[in-house]
Amino acid sequence: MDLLNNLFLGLTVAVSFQNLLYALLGCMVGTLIGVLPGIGPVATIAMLLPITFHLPPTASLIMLAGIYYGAQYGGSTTSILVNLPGEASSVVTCIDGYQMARKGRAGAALSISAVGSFFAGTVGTLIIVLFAEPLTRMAQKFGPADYCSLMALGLVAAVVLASGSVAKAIAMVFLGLLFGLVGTDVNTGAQRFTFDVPELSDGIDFAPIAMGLFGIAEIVINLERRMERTGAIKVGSLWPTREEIRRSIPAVIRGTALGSILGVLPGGGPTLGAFSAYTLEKKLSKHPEEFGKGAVEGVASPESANNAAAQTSFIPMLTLGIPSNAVMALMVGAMIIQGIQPGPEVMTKKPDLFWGMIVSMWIGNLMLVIINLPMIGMWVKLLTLPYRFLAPAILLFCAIGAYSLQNSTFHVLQVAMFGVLGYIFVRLGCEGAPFLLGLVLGPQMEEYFRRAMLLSRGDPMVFLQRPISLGLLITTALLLVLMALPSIKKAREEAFQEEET
Amino acid sequence: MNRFLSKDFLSGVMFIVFGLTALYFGNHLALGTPVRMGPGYVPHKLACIMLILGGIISLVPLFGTATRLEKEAIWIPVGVAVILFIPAAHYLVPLFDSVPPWLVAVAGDWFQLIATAGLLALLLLGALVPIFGTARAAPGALEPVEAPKWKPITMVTIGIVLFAVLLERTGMLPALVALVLVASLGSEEFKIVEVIGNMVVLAILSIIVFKIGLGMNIAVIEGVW
Repeated sequence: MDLLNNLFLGLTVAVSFQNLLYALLGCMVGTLIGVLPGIGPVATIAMLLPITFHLPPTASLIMLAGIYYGAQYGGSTTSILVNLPGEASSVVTCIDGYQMARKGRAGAALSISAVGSFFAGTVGTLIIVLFAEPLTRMAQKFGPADYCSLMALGLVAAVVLASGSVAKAIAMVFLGLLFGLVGTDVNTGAQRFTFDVPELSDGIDFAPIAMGLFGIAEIVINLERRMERTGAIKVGSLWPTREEIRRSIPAVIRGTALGSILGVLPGGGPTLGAFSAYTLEKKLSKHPEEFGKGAVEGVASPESANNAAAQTSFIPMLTLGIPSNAVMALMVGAMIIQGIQPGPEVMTKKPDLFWGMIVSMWIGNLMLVIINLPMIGMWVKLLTLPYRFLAPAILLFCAIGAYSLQNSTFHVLQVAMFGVLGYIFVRLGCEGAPFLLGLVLGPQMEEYFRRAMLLSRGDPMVFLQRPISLGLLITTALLLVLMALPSIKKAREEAFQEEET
Repeated sequence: MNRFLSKDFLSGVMFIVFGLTALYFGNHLALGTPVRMGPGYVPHKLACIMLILGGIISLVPLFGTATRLEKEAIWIPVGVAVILFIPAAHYLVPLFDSVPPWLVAVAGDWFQLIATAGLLALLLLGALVPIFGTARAAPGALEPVEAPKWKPITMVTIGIVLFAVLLERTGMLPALVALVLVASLGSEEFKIVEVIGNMVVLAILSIIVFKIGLGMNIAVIEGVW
């Protein structure tokens, strides 16, 4: 009965006028940036982080979550209608979605993907509800050494599942950890890497880094590539045929299941979910030759998977305080801005925020179906907006947002600095997400590490003597060993190559 | 292409630069002991890890494209020398009286010694390979760094810096005009009418959102509103 009570509490929080408003706002912004290619949820959430400082904690997290899953809905629209993925997670939807649209089935593809996403979102939310409490209870038994090992596992797993070079991604994690150390040392009060800049003594603010690395660098890369826009295909009737419905129902269920599982994994999330779901459908289908020519399963399954994964990727962040991808790292940042330490305490100390956010996700998913289907024409019109208008607007919002953090122009300069750094990262093929994860976890990880070592009187064996910690470290080591095995290395490279083309 | 201009080699160098920077600026922080760590303990370890990882990331593509002759003539001697350097430095340095204390500290810490050895290997190979081996790699063997286009990154950075400089001195509106103008110059297509239109829209939008909506303490034009 506890669960029902909690859900009821969540419902009362989520349906308050203010929270409904922010959920709607988040979903609208999410759909908008999902539709617009060239700006993703990471950049947007980074841009809006300073603004959330002015909002109550629950409202701001509800809004940011809405942006994330809203982008999954919006991304499919552009994929289907203009063959241009609005989001990385909708890249596969282009393949069959656009072909369906060319056959005059654009409306059907859109409504199947919206309804499939809604189903997946509902299931994803339910999974969060079911798993949140047991996981949190488990996490409360963790000591400092266990936590340190858990973070190590989270970081390594995130790296392994990300695309690109493993060694570089690990180095990026460590670089992030190093940047996380800037500021006053909590134990001794010593100034570390502050260069006598008073603004740095509280640590490097998270928001300017995220804005620079993801917002600014993304804009610059997009400005370098000229973006071509093609005309959108007319939507037509939104009703799928009976045959289309019959074929998409099992695909939606499979996509949801796969996406939910992959979303929970560190480093997983919508993009991985969507790609795996598409591959699975192609393998299971009796008509694999139809894929690439407008197979309805090729739309239904990945679209469900990306939304399910977007939902379930909240689980490690909400229960353990460990972000599994860049967006979740930003959510952790948003919590810290609000003075909430993410981790298992959130559920016990702030049950209204915790359950309110979960229930609002389901409400948000409902809103998104309404926002997306009847208003599709409006979103399509936005596509005609050229990127050269969008880029200065994003820059401006980043700059003002950074300033508003502490009314200091130093933060604006930081955005510029990290923009340049982010650009270098992109050019060198180093990914920003592991850096961000390291940055977010850095201060906590050092804290737990020092506490564990103090408790064990300087004996590093403590990490191997505690059973939980040992288990986590063995898993971490196994993951790393697996990555080094030639056959797995090859399979991984092939998988990511498919993703790039 | 040049073997030293691959994405991997240069990113390794970048990690090393960050590691060295952290070592240099974290030098004054007390290390402490594993039981009572000082503020410098974790930064020091992380900096050493950065050096080691950076060394590995740089050397792997270099080794992968080396000819057999180069491996025998350069890589093996350098490798042996560097591996011998670690215990040699550890046991020999403390025997001398005149060495500076920081050097004794480096030689006493195995971890930092390994990082230093890696760095040494990279420097030696970086000098020897172009002289005695070849700096050229077969096309397609490595992923080269794309030549950056300077205009967008420069314009965007200048735009934000200008915004930061102007914001408190002249207010939001002039800063906005400068940012939008400079950033638009970074784009391929530049039409002045469009840019002015964009400025007007953004000015109205940001006044509504930030000044009125969020009630930020920010002057639209310094001294006027």
